[in-house]
Amino acid sequence: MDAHIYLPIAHNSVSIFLLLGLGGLCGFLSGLFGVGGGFLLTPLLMMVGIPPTVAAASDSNQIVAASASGTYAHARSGTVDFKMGILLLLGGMAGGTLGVRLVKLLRAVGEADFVITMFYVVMLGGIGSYMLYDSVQGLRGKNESDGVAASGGPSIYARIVGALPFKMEFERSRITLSALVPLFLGALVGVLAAIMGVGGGFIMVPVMVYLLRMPMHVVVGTSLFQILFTCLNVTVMQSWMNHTVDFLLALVLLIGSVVGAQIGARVSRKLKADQLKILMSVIVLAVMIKMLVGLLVTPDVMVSYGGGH
Amino acid sequence: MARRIALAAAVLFCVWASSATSPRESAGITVSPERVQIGLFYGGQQISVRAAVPDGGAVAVRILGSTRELVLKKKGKKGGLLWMNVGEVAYSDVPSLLIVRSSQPLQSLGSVKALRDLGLDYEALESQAVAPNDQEARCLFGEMVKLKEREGLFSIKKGGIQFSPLGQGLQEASATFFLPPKAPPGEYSVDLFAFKNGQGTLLGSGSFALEFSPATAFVSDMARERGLLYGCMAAVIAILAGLATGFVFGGKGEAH
Repeated sequence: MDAHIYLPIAHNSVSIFLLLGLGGLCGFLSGLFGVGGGFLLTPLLMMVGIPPTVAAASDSNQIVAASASGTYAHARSGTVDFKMGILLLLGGMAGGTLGVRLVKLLRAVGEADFVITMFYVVMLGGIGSYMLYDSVQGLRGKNESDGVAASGGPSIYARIVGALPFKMEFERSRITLSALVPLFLGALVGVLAAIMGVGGGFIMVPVMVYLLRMPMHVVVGTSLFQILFTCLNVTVMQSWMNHTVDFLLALVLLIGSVVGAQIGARVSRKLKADQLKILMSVIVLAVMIKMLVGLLVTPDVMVSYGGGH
Repeated sequence: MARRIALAAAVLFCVWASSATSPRESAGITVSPERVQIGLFYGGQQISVRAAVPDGGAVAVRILGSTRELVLKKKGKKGGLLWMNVGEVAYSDVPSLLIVRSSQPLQSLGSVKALRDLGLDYEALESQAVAPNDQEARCLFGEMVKLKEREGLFSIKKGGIQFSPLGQGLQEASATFFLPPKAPPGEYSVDLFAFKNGQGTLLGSGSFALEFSPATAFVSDMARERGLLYGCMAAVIAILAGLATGFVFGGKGEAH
Protein backbone atom coordinates (compact mmCIF):
# COMPACT_ATOMS: atom_id res chain seq x y z
CA MET A 1 0.00 0.00 0.00
CA ASP A 2 1.26 3.43 -0.87
CA ALA A 3 2.24 5.59 2.08
CA HIS A 4 0.30 8.56 0.70
CA ILE A 5 -3.35 9.40 0.91
CA TYR A 6 -5.00 11.67 -1.64
CA LEU A 7 -7.24 14.30 -0.09
CA PRO A 8 -9.82 15.18 -2.74
CA ILE A 9 -10.95 18.43 -1.12
CA ALA A 10 -7.49 19.67 -0.13
CA HIS A 11 -6.32 18.61 -3.63
CA ASN A 12 -3.10 17.28 -2.24
CA SER A 13 -1.45 14.03 -1.38
CA VAL A 14 0.07 13.75 2.07
CA SER A 15 1.91 10.93 3.78
CA ILE A 16 -0.65 8.89 5.67
CA PHE A 17 1.89 8.29 8.44
CA LEU A 18 2.51 12.03 8.76
CA LEU A 19 -1.23 12.65 9.22
CA LEU A 20 -1.53 9.76 11.68
CA GLY A 21 1.48 11.20 13.50
CA LEU A 22 -0.03 14.70 13.65
CA GLY A 23 -3.36 13.33 14.87
CA GLY A 24 -1.48 11.14 17.32
CA LEU A 25 0.62 14.05 18.60
CA CYS A 26 -2.42 16.24 19.19
CA GLY A 27 -4.33 13.34 20.73
CA PHE A 28 -1.31 12.61 22.94
CA LEU A 29 -1.19 16.22 24.12
CA SER A 30 -4.93 16.30 24.75
CA GLY A 31 -4.74 13.05 26.68
CA LEU A 32 -1.80 14.45 28.61
CA PHE A 33 -3.34 17.80 29.52
CA GLY A 34 -7.10 17.22 29.43
CA VAL A 35 -7.66 20.16 27.09
CA GLY A 36 -6.00 21.21 23.87
CA GLY A 37 -5.01 19.34 20.76
CA GLY A 38 -7.51 20.63 18.25
CA PHE A 39 -6.17 24.17 18.41
CA LEU A 40 -2.69 22.87 17.61
CA LEU A 41 -3.79 20.60 14.79
CA THR A 42 -4.98 23.25 12.35
CA PRO A 43 -1.66 25.17 12.27
CA LEU A 44 0.25 21.89 12.02
CA LEU A 45 -1.89 20.85 9.06
CA MET A 46 -1.22 24.23 7.44
CA MET A 47 2.50 23.60 7.85
CA VAL A 48 2.29 20.31 5.90
CA GLY A 49 0.56 21.94 2.94
CA ILE A 50 -3.16 21.68 3.68
CA PRO A 51 -4.91 24.94 2.68
CA PRO A 52 -5.86 26.86 5.86
CA THR A 53 -9.61 26.87 5.27
CA VAL A 54 -9.62 23.12 4.54
CA ALA A 55 -7.42 22.46 7.59
CA ALA A 56 -9.74 24.46 9.85
CA ALA A 57 -12.99 22.94 8.52
CA SER A 58 -11.69 19.35 8.53
CA ASP A 59 -10.36 19.80 12.05
CA SER A 60 -13.91 20.71 13.15
CA ASN A 61 -15.14 17.45 11.67
CA GLN A 62 -12.45 15.52 13.53
CA ILE A 63 -13.42 17.27 16.79
CA VAL A 64 -17.03 16.04 16.30
CA ALA A 65 -15.78 12.48 16.59
CA ALA A 66 -13.38 13.21 19.44
CA SER A 67 -15.97 15.05 21.56
CA ALA A 68 -18.77 12.56 20.82
CA SER A 69 -17.09 9.79 22.81
CA GLY A 70 -16.30 12.18 25.68
CA THR A 71 -19.83 13.59 25.86
CA TYR A 72 -21.28 10.09 25.90
CA ALA A 73 -19.05 9.05 28.81
CA HIS A 74 -19.72 12.24 30.82
CA ALA A 75 -23.48 12.05 30.20
CA ARG A 76 -23.47 8.55 31.67
CA SER A 77 -21.58 9.86 34.73
CA GLY A 78 -24.12 12.68 35.20
CA THR A 79 -21.49 15.42 34.82
CA VAL A 80 -23.14 17.35 31.99
CA ASP A 81 -25.22 20.46 32.80
CA PHE A 82 -27.61 20.11 29.88
CA LYS A 83 -29.49 23.35 30.58
CA MET A 84 -26.28 25.37 30.57
CA GLY A 85 -24.97 23.30 27.66
CA ILE A 86 -28.06 23.97 25.54
CA LEU A 87 -27.82 27.74 26.13
CA LEU A 88 -24.12 27.68 25.27
CA LEU A 89 -25.04 25.57 22.29
CA LEU A 90 -27.69 27.98 21.00
CA GLY A 91 -25.17 30.78 21.27
CA GLY A 92 -22.57 28.54 19.66
CA MET A 93 -24.88 27.73 16.72
CA ALA A 94 -25.47 31.41 16.04
CA GLY A 95 -21.78 32.18 16.47
CA GLY A 96 -20.73 29.23 14.29
CA THR A 97 -23.10 30.29 11.51
CA LEU A 98 -21.83 33.85 11.75
CA GLY A 99 -18.25 32.58 11.72
CA VAL A 100 -18.79 30.48 8.59
CA ARG A 101 -20.30 33.49 6.81
CA LEU A 102 -17.34 35.53 7.98
CA VAL A 103 -14.93 32.95 6.53
CA LYS A 104 -16.86 33.03 3.23
CA LEU A 105 -16.66 36.82 3.16
CA LEU A 106 -12.96 36.77 4.00
CA ARG A 107 -12.31 34.20 1.29
CA ALA A 108 -14.09 36.42 -1.22
CA VAL A 109 -11.79 39.31 -0.40
CA GLY A 110 -8.77 37.01 -0.16
CA GLU A 111 -8.05 37.63 3.52
CA ALA A 112 -9.17 34.28 5.00
CA ASP A 113 -5.67 32.87 5.38
CA PHE A 114 -4.38 36.04 6.98
CA VAL A 115 -7.25 36.32 9.45
CA ILE A 116 -7.03 32.64 10.45
CA THR A 117 -3.29 32.99 10.94
CA MET A 118 -3.74 36.18 12.99
CA PHE A 119 -6.40 34.54 15.16
CA TYR A 120 -4.02 31.72 15.83
CA VAL A 121 -1.12 33.98 16.64
CA VAL A 122 -3.20 35.97 19.13
CA MET A 123 -4.96 32.98 20.72
CA LEU A 124 -1.88 30.74 20.90
CA GLY A 125 0.23 33.63 22.17
CA GLY A 126 -2.29 34.49 24.88
CA ILE A 127 -2.96 30.94 26.00
CA GLY A 128 0.69 29.84 25.78
CA SER A 129 1.87 32.83 27.81
CA TYR A 130 -0.83 32.34 30.43
CA MET A 131 -0.07 28.63 30.77
CA LEU A 132 3.67 29.30 31.07
CA TYR A 133 3.09 31.96 33.72
CA ASP A 134 0.59 29.81 35.60
CA SER A 135 2.82 26.71 35.60
CA VAL A 136 5.95 28.63 36.62
CA GLN A 137 3.95 30.13 39.48
CA GLY A 138 2.76 26.63 40.35
CA LEU A 139 6.34 25.32 40.48
CA ARG A 140 7.30 28.21 42.74
CA GLY A 141 4.44 27.29 45.03
CA LYS A 142 2.69 30.62 44.61
CA ASN A 143 -0.38 29.25 42.91
CA GLU A 144 -3.00 29.34 45.57
CA SER A 145 -6.05 29.10 43.41
CA ASP A 146 -7.53 25.75 42.48
CA GLY A 147 -9.14 26.72 39.24
CA VAL A 148 -11.59 29.20 40.77
CA ALA A 149 -10.91 32.88 40.65
CA ALA A 150 -10.24 34.56 43.93
CA SER A 151 -13.09 36.87 44.79
CA GLY A 152 -12.54 40.35 46.10
CA GLY A 153 -15.41 42.84 46.08
CA PRO A 154 -18.01 42.64 43.31
CA SER A 155 -16.16 43.35 40.05
CA ILE A 156 -17.56 45.34 37.13
CA TYR A 157 -18.17 42.03 35.35
CA ALA A 158 -20.08 40.64 38.37
CA ARG A 159 -22.19 43.80 38.62
CA ILE A 160 -23.06 43.72 34.88
CA VAL A 161 -23.93 40.01 34.99
CA GLY A 162 -25.95 40.50 38.15
CA ALA A 163 -28.00 43.28 36.52
CA LEU A 164 -28.90 41.24 33.42
CA PRO A 165 -32.52 40.01 33.00
CA PHE A 166 -33.80 36.45 32.28
CA LYS A 167 -32.21 34.85 35.34
CA MET A 168 -32.25 31.06 35.47
CA GLU A 169 -31.27 28.47 38.02
CA PHE A 170 -28.80 25.82 36.90
CA GLU A 171 -29.27 22.98 39.38
CA ARG A 172 -26.44 20.77 38.16
CA SER A 173 -23.93 23.65 38.39
CA ARG A 174 -25.58 25.08 41.51
CA ILE A 175 -25.62 28.66 40.17
CA THR A 176 -28.21 31.29 39.22
CA LEU A 177 -27.38 33.37 36.19
CA SER A 178 -28.92 35.38 33.35
CA ALA A 179 -29.52 33.19 30.30
CA LEU A 180 -27.94 35.95 28.18
CA VAL A 181 -24.47 35.24 29.62
CA PRO A 182 -24.07 31.65 28.36
CA LEU A 183 -25.79 32.66 25.09
CA PHE A 184 -23.25 35.43 24.50
CA LEU A 185 -20.23 33.42 25.58
CA GLY A 186 -21.39 30.44 23.48
CA ALA A 187 -21.70 32.72 20.45
CA LEU A 188 -18.19 34.02 21.00
CA VAL A 189 -16.75 30.51 21.13
CA GLY A 190 -18.84 29.54 18.07
CA VAL A 191 -17.31 32.34 15.99
CA LEU A 192 -13.82 31.26 17.06
CA ALA A 193 -14.61 27.60 16.31
CA ALA A 194 -15.67 28.45 12.76
CA ILE A 195 -12.74 30.71 12.01
CA MET A 196 -10.06 28.67 13.71
CA GLY A 197 -11.45 25.17 13.26
CA VAL A 198 -11.33 24.46 16.98
CA GLY A 199 -13.93 23.16 19.38
CA GLY A 200 -13.19 26.08 21.64
CA GLY A 201 -12.56 23.95 24.74
CA PHE A 202 -9.37 25.76 25.59
CA ILE A 203 -11.43 28.96 25.74
CA MET A 204 -14.67 27.46 26.99
CA VAL A 205 -13.17 25.72 30.03
CA PRO A 206 -11.64 28.90 31.55
CA VAL A 207 -14.83 30.80 30.60
CA MET A 208 -16.97 28.29 32.53
CA VAL A 209 -14.62 28.24 35.51
CA TYR A 210 -13.85 31.95 35.80
CA LEU A 211 -16.87 33.68 34.23
CA LEU A 212 -19.76 31.26 34.76
CA ARG A 213 -18.36 30.01 38.12
CA MET A 214 -19.31 26.41 37.38
CA PRO A 215 -17.85 23.56 39.47
CA MET A 216 -14.91 21.87 37.77
CA HIS A 217 -16.43 18.37 37.64
CA VAL A 218 -19.33 19.65 35.51
CA VAL A 219 -17.20 21.93 33.34
CA VAL A 220 -15.44 19.29 31.21
CA GLY A 221 -18.59 17.29 30.37
CA THR A 222 -20.65 20.40 29.61
CA SER A 223 -17.83 21.86 27.55
CA LEU A 224 -17.60 18.66 25.49
CA PHE A 225 -21.39 18.63 25.00
CA GLN A 226 -21.37 22.20 23.73
CA ILE A 227 -18.28 21.63 21.57
CA LEU A 228 -19.80 18.52 19.97
CA PHE A 229 -22.83 20.37 18.70
CA THR A 230 -20.97 23.57 17.82
CA CYS A 231 -18.55 21.59 15.67
CA LEU A 232 -21.40 19.60 14.15
CA ASN A 233 -22.92 22.88 13.03
CA VAL A 234 -19.57 24.16 11.75
CA THR A 235 -18.90 20.92 9.86
CA VAL A 236 -22.26 21.01 8.10
CA MET A 237 -22.10 24.74 7.38
CA GLN A 238 -18.52 24.62 6.09
CA SER A 239 -19.44 21.66 3.84
CA TRP A 240 -22.53 23.37 2.55
CA MET A 241 -21.30 26.91 2.03
CA ASN A 242 -17.53 26.66 1.55
CA HIS A 243 -17.01 23.00 0.47
CA THR A 244 -13.90 22.88 2.63
CA VAL A 245 -14.45 19.78 4.78
CA ASP A 246 -12.12 16.97 3.74
CA PHE A 247 -13.68 13.96 5.36
CA LEU A 248 -10.79 11.63 4.52
CA LEU A 249 -8.38 14.01 6.24
CA ALA A 250 -10.61 14.14 9.33
CA LEU A 251 -10.90 10.36 9.44
CA VAL A 252 -7.13 9.73 9.30
CA LEU A 253 -6.54 12.40 11.95
CA LEU A 254 -9.19 10.82 14.15
CA ILE A 255 -7.49 7.42 14.07
CA GLY A 256 -4.17 8.96 15.12
CA SER A 257 -5.85 11.18 17.70
CA VAL A 258 -7.72 8.37 19.45
CA VAL A 259 -4.59 6.25 19.85
CA GLY A 260 -2.49 9.26 20.90
CA ALA A 261 -5.07 10.31 23.51
CA GLN A 262 -4.99 6.90 25.16
CA ILE A 263 -1.18 6.95 25.37
CA GLY A 264 -1.21 10.57 26.61
CA ALA A 265 -3.72 9.76 29.35
CA ARG A 266 -1.51 6.92 30.62
CA VAL A 267 1.68 9.03 30.52
CA SER A 268 -0.02 11.96 32.30
CA ARG A 269 -0.56 9.85 35.41
CA LYS A 270 3.21 9.47 35.82
CA LEU A 271 4.28 13.11 35.41
CA LYS A 272 3.98 16.32 37.44
CA ALA A 273 1.19 18.64 36.29
CA ASP A 274 3.24 21.86 36.28
CA GLN A 275 6.10 20.28 34.33
CA LEU A 276 3.58 19.08 31.74
CA LYS A 277 1.99 22.53 31.53
CA ILE A 278 5.41 24.13 30.94
CA LEU A 279 6.09 21.65 28.16
CA MET A 280 2.66 22.30 26.65
CA SER A 281 3.05 26.07 26.84
CA VAL A 282 6.45 25.85 25.13
CA ILE A 283 4.91 23.82 22.29
CA VAL A 284 2.02 26.27 21.96
CA LEU A 285 4.37 29.27 21.95
CA ALA A 286 6.69 27.60 19.42
CA VAL A 287 3.77 27.13 17.02
CA MET A 288 2.72 30.73 17.59
CA ILE A 289 6.25 32.03 16.91
CA LYS A 290 6.48 29.96 13.72
CA MET A 291 3.25 31.53 12.47
CA LEU A 292 4.26 35.02 13.56
CA VAL A 293 7.57 34.71 11.70
CA GLY A 294 5.54 33.84 8.61
CA LEU A 295 3.78 37.19 8.90
CA LEU A 296 6.90 39.24 9.64
CA VAL A 297 9.56 37.77 7.37
CA THR A 298 9.55 38.60 3.66
CA PRO A 299 7.80 35.71 1.84
CA ASP A 300 9.88 33.48 -0.43
CA VAL A 301 7.21 33.78 -3.11
CA MET A 302 5.39 37.07 -3.58
CA VAL A 303 2.19 35.54 -4.96
CA SER A 304 -0.20 32.92 -3.60
CA TYR A 305 -3.41 31.20 -4.46
CA GLY A 306 -6.55 32.96 -3.23
CA GLY A 307 -9.29 31.65 -0.97
CA GLY A 308 -7.16 29.16 0.86
CA HIS A 309 -6.74 26.88 -2.14
CA MET B 1 -14.05 -7.66 -63.40
CA ALA B 2 -11.29 -5.35 -64.55
CA ARG B 3 -12.89 -2.56 -62.54
CA ARG B 4 -12.92 -4.77 -59.44
CA ILE B 5 -9.25 -5.62 -59.95
CA ALA B 6 -8.45 -1.94 -60.34
CA LEU B 7 -10.42 -1.11 -57.22
CA ALA B 8 -8.65 -3.83 -55.24
CA ALA B 9 -5.32 -2.62 -56.53
CA ALA B 10 -6.21 0.93 -55.48
CA VAL B 11 -7.17 -0.26 -51.98
CA LEU B 12 -3.95 -2.27 -51.71
CA PHE B 13 -1.95 0.75 -52.85
CA CYS B 14 -3.63 2.91 -50.22
CA VAL B 15 -2.86 0.34 -47.53
CA TRP B 16 0.77 0.16 -48.72
CA ALA B 17 1.00 3.91 -48.95
CA SER B 18 -0.28 4.33 -45.43
CA SER B 19 2.14 1.71 -44.17
CA ALA B 20 4.87 3.47 -46.10
CA THR B 21 4.29 6.48 -43.88
CA SER B 22 4.66 4.30 -40.82
CA PRO B 23 8.34 5.24 -40.35
CA ARG B 24 6.75 8.49 -39.17
CA GLU B 25 4.87 6.32 -36.73
CA SER B 26 8.16 4.88 -35.54
CA ALA B 27 9.26 8.45 -34.88
CA GLY B 28 6.01 8.91 -32.90
CA ILE B 29 5.74 8.77 -29.16
CA THR B 30 4.78 6.00 -26.82
CA VAL B 31 3.49 7.33 -23.51
CA SER B 32 3.01 4.96 -20.64
CA PRO B 33 0.63 4.73 -18.88
CA GLU B 34 -1.96 6.38 -21.11
CA ARG B 35 -4.44 6.69 -18.24
CA VAL B 36 -3.63 7.54 -14.64
CA GLN B 37 -6.24 7.25 -11.92
CA ILE B 38 -6.18 9.40 -8.80
CA GLY B 39 -7.14 6.82 -6.22
CA LEU B 40 -7.32 7.14 -2.45
CA PHE B 41 -3.63 6.30 -2.08
CA TYR B 42 -2.39 8.34 -5.04
CA GLY B 43 0.88 10.14 -4.43
CA GLY B 44 1.92 11.10 -7.95
CA GLN B 45 2.85 8.87 -10.88
CA GLN B 46 5.92 8.08 -12.96
CA ILE B 47 5.22 8.64 -16.65
CA SER B 48 7.58 7.24 -19.24
CA VAL B 49 7.95 8.50 -22.80
CA ARG B 50 9.71 6.57 -25.58
CA ALA B 51 10.36 7.48 -29.17
CA ALA B 52 12.62 6.51 -32.07
CA VAL B 53 14.67 9.55 -33.12
CA PRO B 54 17.44 10.12 -35.64
CA ASP B 55 20.97 9.27 -34.56
CA GLY B 56 23.19 12.05 -33.29
CA GLY B 57 20.59 14.73 -32.68
CA ALA B 58 19.47 16.31 -29.43
CA VAL B 59 15.90 16.04 -28.21
CA ALA B 60 13.52 17.72 -25.80
CA VAL B 61 10.28 16.39 -24.34
CA ARG B 62 7.48 18.71 -23.20
CA ILE B 63 4.48 17.71 -21.09
CA LEU B 64 1.71 20.26 -21.10
CA GLY B 65 -1.56 20.43 -19.16
CA SER B 66 -4.69 22.26 -20.23
CA THR B 67 -4.53 26.04 -20.04
CA ARG B 68 -6.77 28.38 -18.11
CA GLU B 69 -6.82 31.82 -16.57
CA LEU B 70 -4.91 32.02 -13.30
CA VAL B 71 -5.68 34.72 -10.73
CA LEU B 72 -3.20 34.99 -7.86
CA LYS B 73 -3.01 37.08 -4.74
CA LYS B 74 0.01 39.30 -4.56
CA LYS B 75 1.81 39.83 -1.27
CA GLY B 76 2.65 43.18 0.16
CA LYS B 77 3.29 44.84 3.49
CA LYS B 78 0.39 46.36 5.35
CA GLY B 79 1.05 48.82 8.11
CA GLY B 80 4.73 48.57 7.23
CA LEU B 81 4.99 45.40 9.30
CA LEU B 82 2.84 42.42 8.32
CA TRP B 83 3.02 40.59 5.02
CA MET B 84 -0.41 39.86 3.60
CA ASN B 85 -2.39 39.73 0.37
CA VAL B 86 -2.75 43.22 -1.07
CA GLY B 87 -4.41 42.62 -4.44
CA GLU B 88 -4.68 40.31 -7.42
CA VAL B 89 -2.64 39.60 -10.50
CA ALA B 90 -4.07 37.72 -13.51
CA TYR B 91 -2.47 35.52 -16.16
CA SER B 92 -4.20 34.00 -19.17
CA ASP B 93 -3.61 30.60 -20.81
CA VAL B 94 -1.44 29.23 -18.01
CA PRO B 95 -0.97 25.46 -18.31
CA SER B 96 -1.83 23.36 -15.28
CA LEU B 97 1.48 21.52 -15.82
CA LEU B 98 4.62 22.40 -17.77
CA ILE B 99 7.52 19.98 -17.67
CA VAL B 100 10.37 20.12 -20.18
CA ARG B 101 13.28 17.69 -20.22
CA SER B 102 16.12 17.95 -22.73
CA SER B 103 19.18 15.88 -23.60
CA GLN B 104 21.35 19.02 -23.59
CA PRO B 105 20.97 22.42 -21.92
CA LEU B 106 18.10 24.21 -23.65
CA GLN B 107 20.22 27.24 -24.57
CA SER B 108 22.59 25.01 -26.53
CA LEU B 109 19.78 23.33 -28.47
CA GLY B 110 18.60 26.33 -30.40
CA SER B 111 18.26 30.08 -30.52
CA VAL B 112 16.04 31.95 -28.10
CA LYS B 113 13.59 32.56 -30.93
CA ALA B 114 13.55 28.87 -31.91
CA LEU B 115 12.86 27.81 -28.33
CA ARG B 116 10.19 30.46 -27.94
CA ASP B 117 8.49 29.46 -31.19
CA LEU B 118 8.36 25.86 -30.00
CA GLY B 119 7.09 26.89 -26.55
CA LEU B 120 9.96 25.28 -24.71
CA ASP B 121 10.98 27.99 -22.26
CA TYR B 122 9.38 30.34 -19.74
CA GLU B 123 9.79 33.31 -22.11
CA ALA B 124 7.36 31.59 -24.46
CA LEU B 125 4.92 31.15 -21.60
CA GLU B 126 5.36 34.77 -20.50
CA SER B 127 4.52 36.11 -23.93
CA GLN B 128 1.40 33.95 -23.98
CA ALA B 129 0.24 34.51 -20.40
CA VAL B 130 0.92 38.20 -19.76
CA ALA B 131 -1.27 40.87 -21.33
CA PRO B 132 0.89 43.35 -23.30
CA ASN B 133 0.24 46.34 -21.05
CA ASP B 134 0.14 44.55 -17.72
CA GLN B 135 3.47 45.58 -16.19
CA GLU B 136 2.57 44.23 -12.76
CA ALA B 137 1.83 40.76 -14.12
CA ARG B 138 5.11 40.91 -16.05
CA CYS B 139 7.04 41.86 -12.90
CA LEU B 140 5.49 39.04 -10.90
CA PHE B 141 5.71 36.43 -13.67
CA GLY B 142 8.88 34.95 -12.15
CA GLU B 143 7.08 34.64 -8.79
CA MET B 144 4.21 32.79 -10.43
CA VAL B 145 6.73 30.38 -11.99
CA LYS B 146 8.43 29.96 -8.60
CA LEU B 147 5.07 29.14 -6.98
CA LYS B 148 4.34 26.51 -9.63
CA GLU B 149 7.87 25.09 -9.44
CA ARG B 150 7.50 24.62 -5.67
CA GLU B 151 4.40 22.54 -6.26
CA GLY B 152 6.28 20.51 -8.86
CA LEU B 153 3.87 21.67 -11.55
CA PHE B 154 6.47 23.60 -13.57
CA SER B 155 9.94 22.28 -14.29
CA ILE B 156 12.32 22.99 -17.15
CA LYS B 157 15.72 21.36 -16.97
CA LYS B 158 18.31 19.27 -18.74
CA GLY B 159 18.50 15.58 -18.09
CA GLY B 160 16.28 12.58 -17.65
CA ILE B 161 16.63 11.45 -21.26
CA GLN B 162 18.50 8.26 -22.21
CA PHE B 163 19.41 6.98 -25.66
CA SER B 164 19.85 3.41 -26.86
CA PRO B 165 20.76 2.41 -30.43
CA LEU B 166 18.07 0.98 -32.73
CA GLY B 167 20.07 0.71 -35.96
CA GLN B 168 19.24 2.06 -39.43
CA GLY B 169 20.15 5.59 -38.37
CA LEU B 170 17.72 5.59 -35.45
CA GLN B 171 18.04 5.54 -31.68
CA GLU B 172 15.47 5.22 -28.96
CA ALA B 173 15.08 8.22 -26.69
CA SER B 174 13.41 7.46 -23.38
CA ALA B 175 12.45 9.86 -20.63
CA THR B 176 10.78 9.30 -17.28
CA PHE B 177 9.22 12.14 -15.32
CA PHE B 178 7.25 12.37 -12.14
CA LEU B 179 3.69 13.62 -12.38
CA PRO B 180 3.21 15.52 -9.09
CA PRO B 181 0.17 14.73 -6.91
CA LYS B 182 -1.03 18.32 -7.25
CA ALA B 183 -1.47 17.97 -11.03
CA PRO B 184 -5.21 18.36 -11.62
CA PRO B 185 -7.30 15.80 -13.51
CA GLY B 186 -7.38 16.36 -17.28
CA GLU B 187 -5.75 15.55 -20.60
CA TYR B 188 -1.99 16.10 -20.89
CA SER B 189 -0.12 16.39 -24.17
CA VAL B 190 3.39 15.06 -24.65
CA ASP B 191 5.49 16.51 -27.49
CA LEU B 192 8.89 15.38 -28.68
CA PHE B 193 11.21 17.83 -30.43
CA ALA B 194 14.41 16.98 -32.30
CA PHE B 195 17.19 19.55 -32.74
CA LYS B 196 19.92 19.74 -35.29
CA ASN B 197 22.08 22.75 -36.14
CA GLY B 198 20.05 24.99 -33.88
CA GLN B 199 16.78 24.12 -35.58
CA GLY B 200 14.02 22.29 -33.77
CA THR B 201 11.19 20.27 -35.25
CA LEU B 202 8.24 18.51 -33.72
CA LEU B 203 8.86 14.80 -34.21
CA GLY B 204 5.66 13.51 -32.69
CA SER B 205 3.00 13.94 -30.09
CA GLY B 206 1.19 11.76 -27.61
CA SER B 207 -0.99 12.21 -24.60
CA PHE B 208 -2.17 10.72 -21.35
CA ALA B 209 -5.24 11.27 -19.21
CA LEU B 210 -5.31 11.91 -15.47
CA GLU B 211 -8.67 11.21 -13.87
CA PHE B 212 -10.29 10.61 -10.51
CA SER B 213 -10.99 7.01 -9.57
CA PRO B 214 -14.67 6.29 -8.90
CA ALA B 215 -14.08 6.60 -5.13
CA THR B 216 -12.27 9.98 -5.22
CA ALA B 217 -14.67 11.27 -7.89
CA PHE B 218 -17.59 10.34 -5.65
CA VAL B 219 -16.15 12.22 -2.66
CA SER B 220 -15.08 15.24 -4.71
CA ASP B 221 -18.36 15.53 -6.64
CA MET B 222 -20.45 15.07 -3.54
CA ALA B 223 -18.52 17.71 -1.58
CA ARG B 224 -18.90 20.18 -4.44
CA GLU B 225 -22.40 19.47 -5.69
CA ARG B 226 -24.21 18.20 -2.58
CA GLY B 227 -22.42 20.07 0.17
CA LEU B 228 -25.27 19.86 2.68
CA LEU B 229 -25.67 16.09 2.30
CA TYR B 230 -21.89 15.64 2.37
CA GLY B 231 -21.62 17.70 5.56
CA CYS B 232 -24.43 15.74 7.26
CA MET B 233 -22.81 12.47 6.18
CA ALA B 234 -19.38 13.55 7.45
CA ALA B 235 -20.93 14.62 10.77
CA VAL B 236 -22.90 11.38 11.25
CA ILE B 237 -19.88 9.20 10.41
CA ALA B 238 -17.71 11.26 12.79
CA ILE B 239 -20.26 10.81 15.62
CA LEU B 240 -20.48 7.07 15.01
CA ALA B 241 -16.67 6.79 14.83
CA GLY B 242 -16.34 8.79 18.05
CA LEU B 243 -18.93 6.72 19.90
CA ALA B 244 -17.36 3.50 18.63
CA THR B 245 -13.85 4.51 19.72
CA GLY B 246 -15.19 5.75 23.07
CA PHE B 247 -16.92 2.41 23.53
CA VAL B 248 -13.80 0.41 22.56
CA PHE B 249 -11.35 2.39 24.69
CA GLY B 250 -13.81 3.34 27.41
CA GLY B 251 -12.24 6.81 27.48
CA LYS B 252 -13.70 9.99 28.89
CA GLY B 253 -13.21 12.37 26.04
CA GLU B 254 -10.24 14.06 24.50
CA ALA B 255 -9.35 16.94 22.24
CA HIS B 256 -11.39 20.07 22.32
